[in-house]
Amino acid sequence: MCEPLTDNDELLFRQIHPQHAGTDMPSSQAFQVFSKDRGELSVDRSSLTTAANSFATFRKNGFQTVAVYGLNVGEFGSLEILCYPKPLCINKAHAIADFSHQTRSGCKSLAKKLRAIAHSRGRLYP
Amino acid sequence: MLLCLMPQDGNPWASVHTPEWTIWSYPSSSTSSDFVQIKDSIQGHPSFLRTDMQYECEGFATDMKLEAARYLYEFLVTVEWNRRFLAEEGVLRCASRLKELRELPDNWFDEESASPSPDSLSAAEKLLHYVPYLAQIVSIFPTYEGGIQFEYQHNSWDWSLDFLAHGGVEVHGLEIISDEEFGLKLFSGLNDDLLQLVRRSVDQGGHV
Repeated sequence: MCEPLTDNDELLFRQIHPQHAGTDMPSSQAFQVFSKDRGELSVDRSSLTTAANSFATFRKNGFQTVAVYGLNVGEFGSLEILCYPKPLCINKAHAIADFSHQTRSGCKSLAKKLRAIAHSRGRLYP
Repeated sequence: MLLCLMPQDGNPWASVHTPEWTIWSYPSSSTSSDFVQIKDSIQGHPSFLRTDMQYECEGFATDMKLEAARYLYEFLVTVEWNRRFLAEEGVLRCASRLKELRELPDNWFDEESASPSPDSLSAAEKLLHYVPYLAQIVSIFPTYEGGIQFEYQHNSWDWSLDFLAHGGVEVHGLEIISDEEFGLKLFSGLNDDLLQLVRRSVDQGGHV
């Protein structure tokens, strides 16, 4: 794996599936890795895209999203989660937050903490 | 005259005592939060002086005693009416959401995601029946693996209940301020241990 992201102020965008959007706040599942994710939570880098473009790219690539939330690299770091660039041919701004060393219970706690931080920042788009 | 507000077995009750008569009020199915609401309101009322959990009504003439009792009664009725209204609204909202999820197809997230199983939907519905207060505060989501997730925040605890596709319920809790954790625990179904845990999570400060 390449070097982790180091700019603590860089915001990382997270797309929210319509079924996980909720009425008051999104499900913590929106910030949790599924078994198929191999411990990698997908995000997009604000240094390479905007929340609006991240949203549009996600949809253009065939995925569903209704909202963009975000946390910065430092906020992930405060929970001891490192983030790495992982550009894809369909999305150059793609990066991942590494949950690979977490237990399932730990992932649940982290998802709730990440959700709380992102919710307090508010929806970034639309 | 003496007004008493006391929690008993997790439920509040209130009484007004005078040398001549006593009025007891039991808001049916009321919760500890109702009790706190009643207590806070009574504390703010100029006619009552607080002595711990008892409230002395100072200088009341006989007709004033009746007025105080009427005030208490109307307040309790209002709390109870609000509680029932909110509960009904919550039940309708949850029923509507579960109906939506019952129609969610496979592949709703991606090609590997499963629609909520009948077992998970049934268990979720039953839990709302057993703990109706949940309907007022819970958010309901599908899980990737074909289950249903309840999420709710109560008294600074953030809870999730995952009804698994093939039975079983996973519970996890996080105290938002202190980071105290109720680590992921699997229950085989809606047994007494799970019901007790969920009731305590919404009624008794979240400490389990």
